[in-house]
Formats: sequence, C-alpha cells, structure tokens
Amino acid sequence: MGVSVLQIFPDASRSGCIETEKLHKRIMNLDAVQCGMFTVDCDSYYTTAQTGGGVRKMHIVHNTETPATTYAILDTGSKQVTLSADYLFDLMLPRLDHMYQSKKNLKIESKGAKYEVGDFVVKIGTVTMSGHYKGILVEVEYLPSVTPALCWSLMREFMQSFMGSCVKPTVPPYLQNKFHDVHTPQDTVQQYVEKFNEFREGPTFTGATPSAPSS
Amino acid sequence: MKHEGRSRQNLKVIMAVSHNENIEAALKSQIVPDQEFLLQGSVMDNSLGVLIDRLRGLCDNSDVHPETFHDHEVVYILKDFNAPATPGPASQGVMLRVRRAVDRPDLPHQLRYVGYPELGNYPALLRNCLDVPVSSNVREFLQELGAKLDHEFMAKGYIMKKGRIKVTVFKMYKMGPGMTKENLEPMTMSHLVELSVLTTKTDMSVADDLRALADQLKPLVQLERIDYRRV
Amino acid sequence: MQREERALDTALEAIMQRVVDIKGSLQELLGKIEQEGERSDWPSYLNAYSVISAQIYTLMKVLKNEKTPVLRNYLTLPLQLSADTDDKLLAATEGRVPSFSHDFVPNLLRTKPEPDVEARHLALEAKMAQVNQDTAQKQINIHNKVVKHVMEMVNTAREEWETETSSRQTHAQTCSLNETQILVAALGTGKGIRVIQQPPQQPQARPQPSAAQQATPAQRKAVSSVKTNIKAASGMHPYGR
Repeated sequence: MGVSVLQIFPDASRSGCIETEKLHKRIMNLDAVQCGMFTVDCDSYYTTAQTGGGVRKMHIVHNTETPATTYAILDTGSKQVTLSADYLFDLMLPRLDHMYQSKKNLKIESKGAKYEVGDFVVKIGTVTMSGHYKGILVEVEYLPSVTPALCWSLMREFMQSFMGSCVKPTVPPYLQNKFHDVHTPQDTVQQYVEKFNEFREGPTFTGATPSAPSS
Repeated sequence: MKHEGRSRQNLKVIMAVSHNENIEAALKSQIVPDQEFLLQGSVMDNSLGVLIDRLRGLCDNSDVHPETFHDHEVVYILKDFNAPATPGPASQGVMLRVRRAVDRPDLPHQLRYVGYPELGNYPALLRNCLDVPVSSNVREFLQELGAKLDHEFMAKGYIMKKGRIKVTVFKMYKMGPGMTKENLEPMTMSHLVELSVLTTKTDMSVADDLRALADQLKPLVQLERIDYRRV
Repeated sequence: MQREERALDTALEAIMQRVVDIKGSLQELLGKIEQEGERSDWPSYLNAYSVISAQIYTLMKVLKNEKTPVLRNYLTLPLQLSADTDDKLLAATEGRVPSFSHDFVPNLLRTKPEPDVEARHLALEAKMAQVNQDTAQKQINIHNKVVKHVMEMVNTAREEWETETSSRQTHAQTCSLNETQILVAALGTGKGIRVIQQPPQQPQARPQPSAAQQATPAQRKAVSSVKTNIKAASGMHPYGR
C-alpha cells in the first residue's frame, strides 16, 4: 500500500470507450503491464427522519483491492468518520433501515483495467451511476512511499506524462490536508467518495456505452 | 470475540470472489451463518473449578488450559430519539454492541447485532446474530450515526470449543464512575455459562449437539433457553 | 434336597451369565483403550465405565437375592487331578486352562490343613479341654456382650455418617436460577448495569420522549430515564478515547 491520487480525466466526446482506449494506448507506450480488473462501488444511505442536525449520509464503499473490507463513511455535514469493517457489515445495513435508507438511484461505481508501470499502479475506471455513463476516473498509486509529501511531485510528473494538462500542478485538497500523514486504504476510499459526489452532481451522458479497454 | 465458525470461513471464500451480487445471493439461498442457537445458565463462583475441569474433559484441546478473555462491551441504541414513541420496533430502536478485548489490544473491535429470540419450538434459543470485526473508531462512528450509549460492562472468563460449539464461562462486572480496570464490581456471585453455535437457516441439526453437551453438564449447571425479555 | 440343588443350579447359571457380561464389557473397554487411547472423548469412556458399574451392581443384586442359596455353605472339592489335556475344560475356559493339574488347583481346595495350621489347631483344642465348662460359658457370654456393644457403636456411627452425607448432597448448590436470570437480563437488556443518577425532579415533568415512552407499558422501564445522563457517563468512561 502506497500513496493514491485520483484524477478525473475529461471526456469531451462523452463516449467513454474512445477516451479510455486513448489512455490505454498512452500507458502501454510507457511499458505498462495490464494486470487484471478492478471495481470500486459506492452505495449511499440517507437518514429518513429530519432529526435536528439535518440529513446525515452514510456511504458504503467496496474496493476489489481490499475484498474482505466494507468501508462505511459517515458524513454529518460537519464531520466525516470512516469505519473499516468486515464485509459482513453489509448484512447489518438492513437492521438500520429504520434510520438509514439506501438511495438506489445514487449507486455509483468505477470499473476498469489495472496496469503496473514500474513502482506505479494505474487504474483507469469508467464511472457509471445506476447504469448511466458519467465519466472517467483514474487512480494512480505509488507503492514505495506512504507519505504524500515525499512523493507528490514525482506522482504529478508521472500523471502528466500520460494524462497531460488536466493534472493540476497544485496538490489536491484532500491530499493537502493529510500531506504529512501516513496514507491508508481509508484515504483512497475517501477520495473515491469525494470524486463520486462530484460525478453525481455533474451531468449524465446518456446513450453512451461504457466499456473497458480491450487488451 | 475471537472465534468464528468454519461455515463463516466458507462464506468468506464465496464472498471474496465478488461482492454485492454474492452476498445477496447468499442471503437468498440462506447459507449465511447469521443464526445463533444459545443455551444459558450460571455456576456459582465456588463451583467454577469443578465446571472448568468438567468442560476441559468434554471440549476440544483438553491437554491445554482453556483460553481466557477479558472483554469490554458497550451497548448503544440507535433510534430516532426525537420522534414520538409509538409501539413497535421502530420506537424501540436497535441495540448495537461494541466489544473489545482488554487483554488483546491488537484484536479488532467487534460490532455485534443480536435479534430478538425466534418464536417456535426449537431445542435452544434461536436468534439472528451478526458479528462484524471493525476498526477501533467504531464508537465515534456510532455516535455520529446517531446512536446513544445505553450501558456497558466488563466480561472476564474462559472460552472453549467443542466442534462448532462455543462455550463461554464468564463473570459480568458493572462499570461506573470511579471504577478502574482493577476495581470492578461483580454483578453476582456467579459466572454466566453460555453454549452457542452459529448456523444457517437451513442447518438446524446442530442444536441437538448443543443440548447433548448441556445434558452432560447437569446437575452442575442448568442450561436452558431463556428469553431475557421474560425474566 | 432336589429342590435345593435346582435352586443352586439356576443361581449359578444367573451368576455366570452376569460374569460373562462383565467380562465382555471389560474386554470392550480394554480394546477401546488400546485402539483409540486418548483420541477418544471422555463421554464415551464415562459411558463404558457406567455400563460396567451397572453390570457389577446387578451381579451383586443376584448374589444378595433371597432365592440365591448362601454360597459359602457349599464346599468345592477337587474330584480328579490330571496332568492330561482336557478338551472340555479348554473350551469352558476359553483356552486359558488346558488341564486340571496341580498347578491350577488353588490351595483353597485342599482337603487337609497345612501342617503348621494343624499343629496350632491341636494346641487350641488341648487348651480348651483344660478350661472349666462354666468359666468357658461365662467368657463366651462376656465376649458376645462386648461384640454386641461394638456392633451398636458401629451402626450408630454409620447412620450418622449416612445422614450427614445425604444432607450435604442436597445442600451443595452449584448454580442458582435466580442469579442466572439476573445475569441474562443484564446481558440482554442492560438491566442492573445502567448508571442511573436520577436528576432531582425528573419524572413526568417534561412531555418529551421520556414521558411518552413511559406511557407505553410494553417498554422496558429505566430505558427512558437514563438517556439524559448518557453523555456524562460516556465522558467519564475509563476506556474512552
């Protein structure tokens, strides 16, 4: 486990597969080795009653990189608490439905191919929300380090090498807040939730067929 | 707690393959070991040694001393505390139990849900039961979730197993202001004795094994199905 | 006379049958110990022991039965000693005794006492002849009296001991249903563990959830009144983070 950064790759054509194909070609030129698939999915639960302090949200996230773990991220508006739990936590959720209910139409996932380039792991994901294509999300992980401060510039340079100018020179806000902390799988998942929320608020591209690049 | 049945291991394999689809499929085909058979009783402190000796003879690994545990359990209630109370489960809320091993800080905390006893003529008390290992910030998580602390206690004792059956013999201690780990107030002069086994909705045969073990402990301990709501 | 013989025969037959049973069980247990040893579990060993103990008990019952003749009144005499192999005997003893030879005939079957025993017996007889008839009778009476007294003492001691053990058995309580219920309720609902610190004037003052909850009788009591104190209690909790 190293440091992970997420980057939304702009998809002007809104077709999905054309852009992921482009990224696939570029990364293969960097001597990448494709090594399987990955999925990160997120279900969101909202409080049913308006209890005093507004609506609380609970995001339930699964990551195929940590298949035995369920992440529950609670967002009260003012505070975020991330619980790492055994996957059996999923069975607990129906017991909480008097307080928290699933927003089925907000179910969102990023799915795609995984590559290894030297010390980097790159995951090019196609984001879909309840079946509709929403965009492209790229996760880049640098394995030898666990502190963002020590490897951010290196990662930025690497990301720019195949994604170009969409990678901003500034540190992403989430990473900035934990720049000198040890990066954990929870941090990766929290970044996914952050990006998923951006996609949920963005426009839906209908009519496109989401697909992973063929290798 | 520190123990999982073998059926759970199987489930782990099934579920690790891919997530959401399989857990739903597992629930539908009723192979999730979320049912617990339970028999309870107590033994007075002065007869504890006799019981432990007898259990060592009856349970697995009789050549080693039984494993001890020292757990701290905190019970939360999750419900809409602002809503007016109406009869039914909604206003009673859900009890969520957090357990942590005081003597083994390296073990994960356990989040535990225990359902109401099922009605019906079963050889032992049958109830829905979920044990989920979680990260150590679970209490903060539950508080932010909207749950409120209801009560807490310490449990100290022995744990043994015989096949799939889990046997615990432990003493319950009250917790309160000014009480330290060394200075606890015992609930009673007895140890609680529990025989339990996790199973699925489709496999009910293990309850008879539970009864057989309970019979072998008579008359030292009377193990019965006790509905705590009727006590 | 014939009736007595028949009774003896049936009694012997019954006793033999019981002994064969016990022998079978013992062989089974021995085989089990050899083959399974420590791999077998306690309950099966305990079962084997209880079977044997029950068989011994029934054997004793047969022996004490009123219809069984008093066996010690019968003499067993060796009629024929032979060093030759006896097939019938071999079959009857399952191959353990090939012939009814001198080796196998125990001393108990002697018809004549051992020489030194015989000598002591003669000496005693001679002594007896010297004693006066009346004094002998007196001595016998005194002896009987003493023995009777000792018997009485032993019997009363035994009665006392038996009542004591039986009363101890009923008193040795190892578990209490009452305590079980207290513990189960505490584990299930938190009854008796909640930290209850009643504020000065709490009940029914506020129309808030506590009062509403008390209105429903199905609710477990004490649940409502505690809520207000929970924050405080959790703050004081010694293991809080």
